[in-house]
Amino acid sequence: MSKINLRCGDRRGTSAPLLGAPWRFVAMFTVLLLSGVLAWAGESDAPPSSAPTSEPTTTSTTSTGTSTAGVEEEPDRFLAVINGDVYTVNGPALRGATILSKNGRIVEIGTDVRLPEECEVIDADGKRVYPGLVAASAGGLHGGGNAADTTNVFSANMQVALAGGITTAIAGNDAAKLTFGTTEDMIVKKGLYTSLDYSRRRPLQRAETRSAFEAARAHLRALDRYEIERATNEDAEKPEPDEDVNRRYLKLIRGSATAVATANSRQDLLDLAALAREFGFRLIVRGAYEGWTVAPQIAGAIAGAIVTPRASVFENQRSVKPSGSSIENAQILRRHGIPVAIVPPTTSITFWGLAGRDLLHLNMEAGFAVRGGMSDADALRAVTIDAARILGIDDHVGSLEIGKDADWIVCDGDLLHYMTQVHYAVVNGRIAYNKQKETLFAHIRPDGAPETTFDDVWPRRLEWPANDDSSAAAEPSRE
Amino acid sequence: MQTFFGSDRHWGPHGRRILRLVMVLAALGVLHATGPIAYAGPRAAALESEEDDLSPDARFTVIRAGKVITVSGSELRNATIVIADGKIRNVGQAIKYPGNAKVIDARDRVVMPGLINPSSRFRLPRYRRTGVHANQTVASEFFSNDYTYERLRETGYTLLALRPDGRGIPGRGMVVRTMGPTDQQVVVETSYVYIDASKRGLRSALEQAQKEIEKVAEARKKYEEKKEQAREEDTPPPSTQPVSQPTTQPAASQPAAFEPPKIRPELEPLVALLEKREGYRALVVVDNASEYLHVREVLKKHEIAHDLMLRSFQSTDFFRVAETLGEAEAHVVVRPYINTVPNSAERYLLVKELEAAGCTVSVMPSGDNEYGMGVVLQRLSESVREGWSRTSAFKSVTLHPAKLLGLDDRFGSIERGKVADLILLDADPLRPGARVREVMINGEIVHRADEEQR
Repeated sequence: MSKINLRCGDRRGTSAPLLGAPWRFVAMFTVLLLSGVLAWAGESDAPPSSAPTSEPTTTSTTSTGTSTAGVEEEPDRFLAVINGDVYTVNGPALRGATILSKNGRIVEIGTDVRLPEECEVIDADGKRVYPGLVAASAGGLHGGGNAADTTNVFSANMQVALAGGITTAIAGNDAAKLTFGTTEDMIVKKGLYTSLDYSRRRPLQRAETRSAFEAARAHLRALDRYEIERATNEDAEKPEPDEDVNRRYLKLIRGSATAVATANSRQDLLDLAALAREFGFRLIVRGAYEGWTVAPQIAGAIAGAIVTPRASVFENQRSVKPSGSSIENAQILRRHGIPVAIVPPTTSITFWGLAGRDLLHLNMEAGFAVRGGMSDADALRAVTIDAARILGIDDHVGSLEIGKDADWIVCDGDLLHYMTQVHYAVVNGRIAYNKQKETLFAHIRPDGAPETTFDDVWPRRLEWPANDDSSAAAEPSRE
Repeated sequence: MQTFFGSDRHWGPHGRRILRLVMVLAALGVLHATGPIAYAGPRAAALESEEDDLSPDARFTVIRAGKVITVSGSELRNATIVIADGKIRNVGQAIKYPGNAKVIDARDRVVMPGLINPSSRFRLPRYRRTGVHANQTVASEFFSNDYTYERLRETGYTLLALRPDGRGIPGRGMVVRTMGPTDQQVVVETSYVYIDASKRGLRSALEQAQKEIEKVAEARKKYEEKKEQAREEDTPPPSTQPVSQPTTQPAASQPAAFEPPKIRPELEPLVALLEKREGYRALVVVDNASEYLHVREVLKKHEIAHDLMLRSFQSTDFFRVAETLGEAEAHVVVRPYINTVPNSAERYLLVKELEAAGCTVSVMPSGDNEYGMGVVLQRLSESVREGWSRTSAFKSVTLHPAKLLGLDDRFGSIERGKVADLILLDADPLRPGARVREVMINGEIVHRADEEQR
């Protein structure tokens, strides 16, 4: 009987609407009976060596079974998370949905997913599933130089960052996954940014940057002229770039690269926005403490800002214009259409105290953006898909969609809540962090433990050992 | 009277009878090959042994031991070890031996094979050769004298694998004895290729070696083409060709034998490793679990025959790759510690986990000096107390290092045919306070513990 159930439906889900309509159930039963009779008849006709009909997944339309017969090098790697509330970020939140990943890619999301036989399953009943967080600024999670060669994939830093929900982080100028326990598929994208120095505090570098852009633009214009001239004049000479033309700037103006610059003051932000407008390149700004004061002016020119809601810079007492940092910064920039990535004040893992300020608490920083007026949805985007877009890797990570990398986290509550703990972090379809298995946080609100309230733990009461009879008897009597 | 057995002048009437009896007994011994061998005399023993390599003046030494830890087999109480020509001829309980053998009464001793150190820099100059120098050997640094290993012999180590030092591929190791005849002190002159490189360094070195192979292949191909061309030219030319025309290129018609281009000498052993030549094996050093995963990628890609040295201390995360190492059936060299999980107080026993996963475990001393080697047995006893098996502990300092060095046919256990490198202890080796009292190398007692020193 159970085999028939498996054949007609899946392991969970589809049978529920059938039960709702009795006539449909009857029809279903008839169909089943008929098919059973037909199958029996077919079997009696067919030679006994025919394929077994009791195979539950043979009629699967989705590509769930193991790869077709042939060279079996490595079996397909399946991982699914079931029963969780799935926050897809780019789509709706799905209650009690299943995500199925195959070989590190998401292949199915929904409430009607049939799981293959050889499939690792995470039960997220009562928990929430989010895409893995993206740290747009990070240090110490990966190794220096080429991260794929030098990263310690068992490092405590990486584990703590995973416990903070981060699955992808910037590593030098590359985007790399936190592939705890394996060195495979670590690098997402190499060479993310071209760094610009365009601050009023460093006038020489500022002038150099500007002249480099101008030289690059002059060369590109010469190329354009050459293209036009070639149509009429076959002897036209193709212009060669001068020595002072920086190829990276050519790429920037052509739009095949992204620039990044650190700018905090109002004036620097305005200057950078003007430069980006003038030369038409894609610009990401780091810092942007005073972005909230000039958000409307820089809105069209800046492709993204990497900000810290809790940044604290005092206002300039001598200036009549608004200055200094604001907790509303992220919200105001976002409201003006600038994609915002949120990073904590300390963009590394620290073990020396001051909880809540390092990468372990990236989600809390997003919570502070909410405190500054940002919507929950936008705050979530600011640590997932928007951060991925700012790094230029939103085609791989940042949301839960079919075809994207299987990077997700399973939390015991709202991601933006300070008490929320990550129970599982999945990277490339592998469980990279399991709270119950690692010594780090296993003891904090373990799975299955009774809930404790505030009154249970406060005021603190010292537990004295019970004065049982045996110990009393062991004590020498004084009489 | 002169007969086959000699003249009466030599033997006397009774002696001749005795000799005849002896010969009969010897013949009986040959018939009963499965039973314990009855030694009737040195010459008779030589006759009946399978290998007739015994020198005519072979002297037999016999150790009557209270206990023999054979390592390869079971432990024997009140056993006898028969040694001739520096090799173990027999071992077992109730064994007969020649009457004129030199008997060492060791009934209050425990005998086990001499310890073998798979990786040491003992008393070598502090010279680090950084970079790729795979053709260099320790032999160039090795100057032995009588006193070098005097203190070392007290620790029970009889065989040392000396390794080159330095980051990268500093060269190849060698195997020496801590004593013995001078001409036999060096057992193996070029042993494993020692690799202590980063993933990037190893990859680039192997890629360079691969290029050398391709260079030779390219040259050979060119040579073959040229030869083919020359053969075509040699074939009877068309009649239009005047015969009188002198051959301008005699070399082209008779090309010289193929001379492969020179391989860069520092890469030669790596080329041998890539070509999987016999006798070439690498000893790869890794410092932590992650480094193993990284280096494994490169080793797997080039299919390098290798063993691993886990240069770990007490706190180590190698337990994370125990399964991976076990799947690869790796031979690993570790230091004898009771380990802890990093950033935690959780204890575990790496050697045990590695072995349970399927690895072959060799132990190298935690300190590369007399003290470190002196406490190895003590460290092992701690591991055994923590749950490691006793036989594995013994193997990890004798048979397994011998296997790592490719010398397990001669060293590492007390078996018939193996070299008599033995140590005699006054108590069970894993008992705290057990002391190496006598060291035998090549069948000779080379060290006796000084009673006054205690």
